[in-house]
Amino acid sequence: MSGHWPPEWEDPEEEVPEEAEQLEADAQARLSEVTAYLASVPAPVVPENVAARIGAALAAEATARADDTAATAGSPTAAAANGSADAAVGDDTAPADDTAVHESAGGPPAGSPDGSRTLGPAPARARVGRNRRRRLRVSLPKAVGSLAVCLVLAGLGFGLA
Amino acid sequence: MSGPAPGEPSDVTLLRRHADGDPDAFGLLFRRHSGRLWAVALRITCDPDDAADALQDAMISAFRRAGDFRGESAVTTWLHRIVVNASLDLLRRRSARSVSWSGDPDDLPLPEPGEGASAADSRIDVDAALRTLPPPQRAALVLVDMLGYSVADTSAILGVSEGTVKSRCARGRARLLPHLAHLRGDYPEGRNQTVPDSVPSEQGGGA
Repeated sequence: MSGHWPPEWEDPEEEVPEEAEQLEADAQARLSEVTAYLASVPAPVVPENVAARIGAALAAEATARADDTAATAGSPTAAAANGSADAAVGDDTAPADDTAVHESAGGPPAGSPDGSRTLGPAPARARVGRNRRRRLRVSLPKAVGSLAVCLVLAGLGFGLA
Repeated sequence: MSGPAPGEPSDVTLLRRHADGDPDAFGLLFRRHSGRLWAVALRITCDPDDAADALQDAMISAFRRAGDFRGESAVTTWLHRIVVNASLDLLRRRSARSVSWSGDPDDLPLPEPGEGASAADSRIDVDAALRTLPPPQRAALVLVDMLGYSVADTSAILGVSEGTVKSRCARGRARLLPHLAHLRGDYPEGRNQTVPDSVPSEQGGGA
């Protein structure tokens, strides 16, 4: 907020200094009373429905995380792919502790109050993509091996020639 | 501030267990600090439904990002920061609702069941007064004056300098003064007058 006051709020120049000091002290005393009063207000109790709702949401997150972990643990190549993908996301959000949350005060995207990219279960399309890439990766070693054999044979042929 | 009971794991231990895959660790951490986190969300949003939404968003975000916690601040500071940001973000998205109070007492949050009349009245008055503050001032005042955080901790939570925290608190207190002064018996009308004439009200400028 700016410090520009409306003109009618300006103090008159002919104000007596002692009175000004007294007014300042009075103002500080009254503001201190506001502080004391705010501190005396009892803290609200969490409604049971709110606590239950959030507890259920956290339990759902835990279940989703466990399912995702089990799915990635079932396939080593998929786990490697997911690990590299998660590492990339982690790098994007790093340093992802206090300073990242500090940066979010400027207006993070909706749904991510701390400014991070929220992770969740991968969509079905991405899973299909990973399966396709898994099949491609499985066939690559064979292709490389075949190519190596061809090169060796070509080299032998050249040497004989 | 709530903390672990004797024999219970610390906040950092719970967070690490959660990051390692313990399904119950984060829930325990939330239950341990739910009261203060709820107070932060409710005081900043000034609406129980918005506070519930903001707190849920914040806890889910914290759940997913717990592995990134470096330990450079306390776990409670980290959690409070996420809740404050979630609350302010929700207010930004619903900016038409939060700045001023219509003056209708039905808009005020209802007192908790079982509270004494004086405690309920004071909380309603405070909630109505807090609604007149801009959200950043409201957040600073809630953390410093109502929850007892130091200026340094509040600056870490809000992500601003200590001078900014002090400035926001001072201005917030000055703006609250006319709303709360009647509770000390300064006005002839006593406790029934909750809104000064300067606050826009459907009832014609306050009580």
